Amino acid sequence: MAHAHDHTHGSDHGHDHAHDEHAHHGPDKGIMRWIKTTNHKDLGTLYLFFSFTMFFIGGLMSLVIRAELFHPGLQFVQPEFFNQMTTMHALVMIFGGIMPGFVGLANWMVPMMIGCSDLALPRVNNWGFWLLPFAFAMLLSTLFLPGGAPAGGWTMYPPLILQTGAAFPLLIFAVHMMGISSITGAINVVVTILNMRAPGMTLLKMPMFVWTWLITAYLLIAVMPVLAGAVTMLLTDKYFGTSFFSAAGGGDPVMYQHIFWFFGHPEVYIMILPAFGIISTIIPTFARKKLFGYDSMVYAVAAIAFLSFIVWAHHMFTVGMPVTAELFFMFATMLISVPTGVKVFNWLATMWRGSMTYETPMLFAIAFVFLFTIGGFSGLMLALVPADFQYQDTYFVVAHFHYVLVPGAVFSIIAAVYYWIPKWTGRMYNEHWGKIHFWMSAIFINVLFFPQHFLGLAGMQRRVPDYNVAFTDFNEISSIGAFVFFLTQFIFIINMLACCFGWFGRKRDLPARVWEGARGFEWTVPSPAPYHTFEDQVELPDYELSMGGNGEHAH
Amino acid sequence: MRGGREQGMNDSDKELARRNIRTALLLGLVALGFLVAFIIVVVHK
Repeated sequence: MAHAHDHTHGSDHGHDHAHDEHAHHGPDKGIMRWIKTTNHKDLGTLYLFFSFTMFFIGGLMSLVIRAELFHPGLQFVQPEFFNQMTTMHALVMIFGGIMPGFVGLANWMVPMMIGCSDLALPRVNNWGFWLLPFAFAMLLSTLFLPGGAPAGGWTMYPPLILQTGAAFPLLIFAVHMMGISSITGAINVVVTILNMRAPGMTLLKMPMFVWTWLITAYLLIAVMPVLAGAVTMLLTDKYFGTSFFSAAGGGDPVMYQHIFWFFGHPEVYIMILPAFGIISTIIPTFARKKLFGYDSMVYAVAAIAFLSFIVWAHHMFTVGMPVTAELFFMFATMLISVPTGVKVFNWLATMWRGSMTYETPMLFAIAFVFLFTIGGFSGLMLALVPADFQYQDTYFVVAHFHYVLVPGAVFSIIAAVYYWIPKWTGRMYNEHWGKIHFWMSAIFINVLFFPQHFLGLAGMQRRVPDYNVAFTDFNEISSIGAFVFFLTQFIFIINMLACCFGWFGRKRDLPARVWEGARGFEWTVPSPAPYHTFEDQVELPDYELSMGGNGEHAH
Repeated sequence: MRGGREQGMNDSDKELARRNIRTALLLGLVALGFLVAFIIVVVHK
């Protein structure tokens, strides 16, 4: 509240004293700046640093998995620890890496894109962030408990997950904290977008990134309470004598799977819709054309979000359900390819006959379109009930969702950081090393995940530390891809940290509009963006809106 | 809401802040609604 007062000024400036005293101060000094901050740019930075820390930790866990799978038989770790690694890798990457990464980008960019001074509830924003380090410290601490970390898979299916030892209550509490963080963040984003847009920015003039985040935030508000309820029922089943999911007590373990995936499938879109927004921002900039089919993009995102609520059981075809239900979920799932196809074709149409240049963010965006589509196609294969009975629990599924999440969601986060870091820091990244990073990533992500399609089709099961010797070659290729891909990311980290801290003599000498083809509010403020922006209401000229559905892009 | 925290705020800021709180509470209720609906579905199964 006080922060909104500090930085949200309308046309009335009848309180000059308070204005001078608060609105123009810079950030506090030292560690307290980061603990107490309610500034959306500070919190965006914190979210992004947290996200990349979690990517690093989750990446190390994936290396344990890939090292173990390099050869058949047991090499480095015991099966129990291997299962802990697969479970923790997923939890850390999903809830600690990808989601906070997108929240960090929303923190930085949504207020600047809609021309307001901060998020609507800045103190809630601070609280939402600071829940996360404690949640993940608690979750990761379970690795050192007797019995180790949770090992029943990130889906936490009972009865298996109920066999978890001392780690169990910590897992549940950590999920609750992540859920609270997500809900508060989502509410903040929705309130900001609905109430604080600059005059003249109607809903259908908003940048696509803002649109995708608005819809993502609604998804979060809808499904995170369901996850919270489900894991609370697991807790009471284990410690308070209930039998929600225990067949012996009259409960139904399959019901948990339905509940989990009612959360879990929209969660998949929570991790990809903001990526769509990023790609829809970057491609027009470097194609130097307005986004093709802006309105259809918005409706496609809304359609995908709606469909995400009626497809959950495609994750559990083999569990046993009526054929009519299987048919419904199969067709509903296949229907998603229609709005998704609209988006892919719109991106291609945006590039068509554009004045294309291939800076690093654009390279990652183009790779996203190709590689995400591969993940989409394998998803279509998995949607087919008879085929899914063959693919279920194999490496084909692992290949599918990693294609969607890594060259999909993660590439989009990388592309966004390359795209916006000149605006954030005022320093340009090294394009040469950016391109090396891109080509190494694009090649080795395929070396890592493409062979897993073949492994899955040949029958290799997921979540198993040992395998038939016939699968050795593809596993070796995949593991080499994993190690090189992981090491490649250090090029990116160093390149970005050099922008943050001015290493290698990088100067702050960038214009406000870093990319000549970029349009929007964020490119009207200096680079680096001042600590406080848009304290006074401004109206965006039509020229800046030209990336949306209105107006023509000026060359 | 009132008193100290609103000191020095102009009317439009106050109105915006109140509107933001109202919208946030409404969305919080929506989230709560999903939780309650979920519990009803599970209990009645």
